[in-house]
Amino acid sequence: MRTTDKEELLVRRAKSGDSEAFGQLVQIYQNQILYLAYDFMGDYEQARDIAQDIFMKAFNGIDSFEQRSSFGTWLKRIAVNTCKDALRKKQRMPEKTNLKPQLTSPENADRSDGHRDIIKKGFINLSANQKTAVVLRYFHGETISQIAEIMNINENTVRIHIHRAVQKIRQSLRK
Amino acid sequence: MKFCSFEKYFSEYIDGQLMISDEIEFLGHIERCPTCPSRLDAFYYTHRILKNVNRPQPDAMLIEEYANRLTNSFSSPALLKRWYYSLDDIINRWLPSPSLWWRFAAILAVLISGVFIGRFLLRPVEPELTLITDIPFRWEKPISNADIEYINYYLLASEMILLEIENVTPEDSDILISHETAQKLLMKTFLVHESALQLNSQQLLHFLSKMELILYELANADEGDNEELMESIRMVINESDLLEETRRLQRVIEDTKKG
Repeated sequence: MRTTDKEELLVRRAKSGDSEAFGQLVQIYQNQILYLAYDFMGDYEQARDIAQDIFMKAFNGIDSFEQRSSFGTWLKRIAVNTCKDALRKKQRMPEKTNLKPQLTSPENADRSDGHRDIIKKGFINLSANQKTAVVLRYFHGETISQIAEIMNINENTVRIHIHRAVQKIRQSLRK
Repeated sequence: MKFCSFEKYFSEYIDGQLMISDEIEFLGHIERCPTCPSRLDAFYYTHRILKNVNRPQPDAMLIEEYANRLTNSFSSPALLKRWYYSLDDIINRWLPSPSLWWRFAAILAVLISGVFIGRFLLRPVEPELTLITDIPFRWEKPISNADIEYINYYLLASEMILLEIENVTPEDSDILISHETAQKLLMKTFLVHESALQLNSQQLLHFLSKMELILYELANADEGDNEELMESIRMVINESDLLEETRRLQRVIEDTKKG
């Protein structure tokens, strides 16, 4: 059975209330969603909670999924919107001194610096849409048309978001 | 800084994701444009950094906890529901979606079946007959208790006559069996014969044919023929082992009554 066929079957079962089928869909996407949330938040603990929230939203709203796009695209749209929302809330909250150690594995600690720098410094001047487009394009390897579908905007707008975001990141990283 | 409309294709051009026609147009523009080549170089540098950046891996414990939380949130449904979903899968996967006419036909078939089943379930209850169907004699049709009793009575009477014939000696010149008795039993033979035909019992029919012959001879015998007649009847009885056959049939009847 092809992956899409299997996914379609699982989605149909999940829509009829089969939580086990939804559990199998979760298994397929759980890492992608965790990393997507991390790319927005820059913190795995927050990302874990947000990812869980994303799956709960998807489970509760699966009846509204009309299968015009793939399940992955639909799930990532929920993920992006949830992450944007979480970022907005985070920005409104006063910055707390983070005393907790970052929950990354020690062998990756040195390699994480580049990524963390980009999220901390490079993304600082990006709009939510620019950030979303860059994350999906560069960290998740999505094509322009896939990003357009996830963000529900047209492809040229995605291209412009990416171009402007890359220019801003270059300027920020130069400083 | 003025934004050239072709700049938005930089990312796709670098990744080789432009369609051929778009790429030809893009390259044609790059050759002519005074700003795009230098901007493409600058874009390429940041693009490469972003592409090659490594995301730090999360702590194994965090991943485990995350997976456990998700597993607990979306646990397995009850067994019955799982069967329902499996059946639903099979139906949806293997059976084509029926057309409107097929759906109509299916509904009609269900309705007709329902009417038949309903009529069967709601039919008036007929008085129950005590029928004995499973007996060792291999009755091919069910018979009633009254028939069994009648056949039994006939077999007993036949045995009595056969015994009398067997036991009569040449000295007993007076025949013990009257014409009248033989005729009565002959009439009963016809009735039992009817039952045997109805039952399609070959053993009983065979026995009756022998008895009919004997009784017919007895009913029509002259006074002087007694000795010769008795001798010839005894021969028939012995050759056919008719007495034993009568007893065997009686045992079958007894079994039937007990069963």
